[in-house]
Amino acid sequence: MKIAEINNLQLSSIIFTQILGTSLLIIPGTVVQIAGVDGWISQIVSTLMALIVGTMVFYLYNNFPHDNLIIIFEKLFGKIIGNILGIGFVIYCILSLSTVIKQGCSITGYIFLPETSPLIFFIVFFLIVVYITKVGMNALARTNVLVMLLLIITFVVIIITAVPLLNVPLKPLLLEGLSPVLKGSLTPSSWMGQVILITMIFPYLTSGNKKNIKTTILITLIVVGIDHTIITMFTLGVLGLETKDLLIPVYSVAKLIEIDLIWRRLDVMIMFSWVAGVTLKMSFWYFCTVLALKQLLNLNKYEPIVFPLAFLTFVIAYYSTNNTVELTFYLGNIYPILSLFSYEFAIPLIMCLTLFIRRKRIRKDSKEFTP
Amino acid sequence: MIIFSMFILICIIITVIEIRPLEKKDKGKYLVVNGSILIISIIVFLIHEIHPYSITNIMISIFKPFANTLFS
Amino acid sequence: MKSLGVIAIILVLLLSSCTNSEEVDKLSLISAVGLEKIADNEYKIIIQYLMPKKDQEPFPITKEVDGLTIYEANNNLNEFLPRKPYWSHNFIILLSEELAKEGIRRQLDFFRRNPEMRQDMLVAITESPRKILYNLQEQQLSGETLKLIAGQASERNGLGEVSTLHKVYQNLFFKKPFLTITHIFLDGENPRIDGVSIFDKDKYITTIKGDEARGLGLINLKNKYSSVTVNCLDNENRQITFNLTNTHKKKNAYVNDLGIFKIHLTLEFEASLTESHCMRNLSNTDTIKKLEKSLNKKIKELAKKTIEHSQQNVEIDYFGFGNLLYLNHPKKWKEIEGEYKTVYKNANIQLKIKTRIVQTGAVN
Repeated sequence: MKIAEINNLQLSSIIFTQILGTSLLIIPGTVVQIAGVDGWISQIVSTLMALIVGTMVFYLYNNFPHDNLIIIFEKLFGKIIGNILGIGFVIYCILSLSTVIKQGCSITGYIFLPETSPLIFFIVFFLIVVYITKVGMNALARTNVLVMLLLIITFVVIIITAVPLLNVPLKPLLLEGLSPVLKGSLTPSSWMGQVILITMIFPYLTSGNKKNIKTTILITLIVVGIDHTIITMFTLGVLGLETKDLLIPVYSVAKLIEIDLIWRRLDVMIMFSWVAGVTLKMSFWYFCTVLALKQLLNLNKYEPIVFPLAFLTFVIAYYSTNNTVELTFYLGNIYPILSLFSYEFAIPLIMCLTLFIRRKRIRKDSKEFTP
Repeated sequence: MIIFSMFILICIIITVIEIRPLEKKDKGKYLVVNGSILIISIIVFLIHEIHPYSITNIMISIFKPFANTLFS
Repeated sequence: MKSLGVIAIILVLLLSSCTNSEEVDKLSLISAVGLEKIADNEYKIIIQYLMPKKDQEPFPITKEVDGLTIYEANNNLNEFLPRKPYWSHNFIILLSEELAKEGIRRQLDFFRRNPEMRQDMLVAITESPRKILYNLQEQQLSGETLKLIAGQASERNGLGEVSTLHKVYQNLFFKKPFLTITHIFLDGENPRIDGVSIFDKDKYITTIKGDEARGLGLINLKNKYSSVTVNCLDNENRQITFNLTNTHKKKNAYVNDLGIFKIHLTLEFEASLTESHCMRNLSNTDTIKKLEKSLNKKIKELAKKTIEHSQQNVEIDYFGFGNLLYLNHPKKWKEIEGEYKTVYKNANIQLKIKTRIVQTGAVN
């Protein structure tokens, strides 16, 4: 079977929507809670952090262009440790995905359809995610390009129309030193570090020019980082420290925008990009989860396990939190630790070091990736 | 509960439809995998019915001391 | 794959109507709300809602409800409203002075917590919201009128900032809040904006009116329209009026080595002559120079009056100088934060006003 191919634009769009799909709305609030007025500096720090992860991803790609993360585990660490790490990765994926789903459903319900039963969102998102995963990587990548455009348009329109509202200066700078800034940068780092999922789709990348892929990954991460920085600056500039008091600050900014009679209630755009972004983020995460499980169990095709696994994920997601306070605390304070010390930073770092040390003695045989 | 069992039913039907055209050797494998996934989800559901918990809450109670030292 | 399609089609059939639909003709659109205190922890909530009429403008109806909180009152409202109360289009929140003295933050919480609520509704202080709302009902005016009036008063007459819910909260989150809120006064039959209420954090202190309010506007607002009248050069009994456009504003606050809080204010205006009762010919450049001088003096007088009022009478910094100090010299701010009241009282405020007369109108 021919493997679907992803070109550089599609790759960058995947990274873009994958990170910005949920972070665009939520990230200013969580960061400002910890770092205060210096939240935007935290975003710059987290971008640097993400660049390190991006470089590691590329380093892995450079050595294993035809394998995905599960196979790389096995090649690097042997069968037993590799399989343990693989199972861990699947669990990590399902856990992360379940919070993404919960977030998507609860925020869509909370802002846009407050009187609808949350179960409806779960069912609708479930069907969409299953459908997109069954259709395959190619369609997912192409849709991502469209949604990236949508996100960029939303971002630019909101930034431009919010300029007249800016009236809070971003001062004083670094009053409490660097430590709140560094602490604040952990949360966005955990978001940006999700670029590690790209390791799951290495075989799909067009292996024409390796250098291009490196620049694509790094430039996309820098653009995402700039987006994060600007959106944090603008929410701080418009709302001041009120930002930390609000659940979804960017949505509040959009609600305030009022330019003449035409440009009003831009929160509709927010809804647009939120639903589209979250759906694709879920789909991509889910696609990676399915691929990982399939590779782990040595199956030939991934289609038959799509529906049951999605069901399991959505059941877990449905019971993942009791209320928004828990979810916000989890995403702001617990998830960064959970992810950065496992598959987003620590394990890739160990992998790269191992690879660097025993470059010559990597097992060449073992499994091959099949679509 | 009703919706849950309905979805379980749909899951089983779809699995059967998907698996039928495959070879005999693969069939068993997929049946085992799908079956165990379904059983896990039923367990998750049942535990929640008996004792309401939430995964993030468990995570929070495990990692909270760590998070407090890191973020405060 | 096919089966999935079939399921999808079956599910689509279920989507043919929506649950909990809210039709416009099944809602009571609330256009103004007033809060009044009757006893300790007991509030009267006065609500104005719009009753749609066929081929007519909707006319406002005022109702009173009791409740411990606004949401409770909202639910009690259902006892005598034919339709569901709908809050998103509320234009104005009126708070009674008595209530505001206890702090306004908790009263406004309901309006911020509800995600459907717009944050651009006007918050206003008045002596008795009940009187104002009944007056509006008599005159067949909705809450929107009051909001528009407040906008006019601020934009065209320099009477303080329009205190929308967003602005109020933005201000309350500053290190040193300097909240000012529009004050509404029932002048005979007509509600009018007569001044600016000043706050200590979120507690109402007093309302400044007349010259003081104008002075506050000159110092804090960046306005296109505000008028100043000075006496004629040759005749003390005749006046000459200018329209002022603020072009530049510079504020600087610091604490010097002796521990004295110093504030430098530079205000620059462009004035255009709009009405003159004077006899003298204005085409002479010397006359213009002299007029500019007397304008400067007058503006300085107005601003001084407000500053003195804030320093001596109420002892509250409602210009935001404390916040300015925090933004630019956060370490100094920390030193004086505890005794800010006395520091501000003894502060040395230097005013520098530059006015340029750019137009004298169509007459020479």
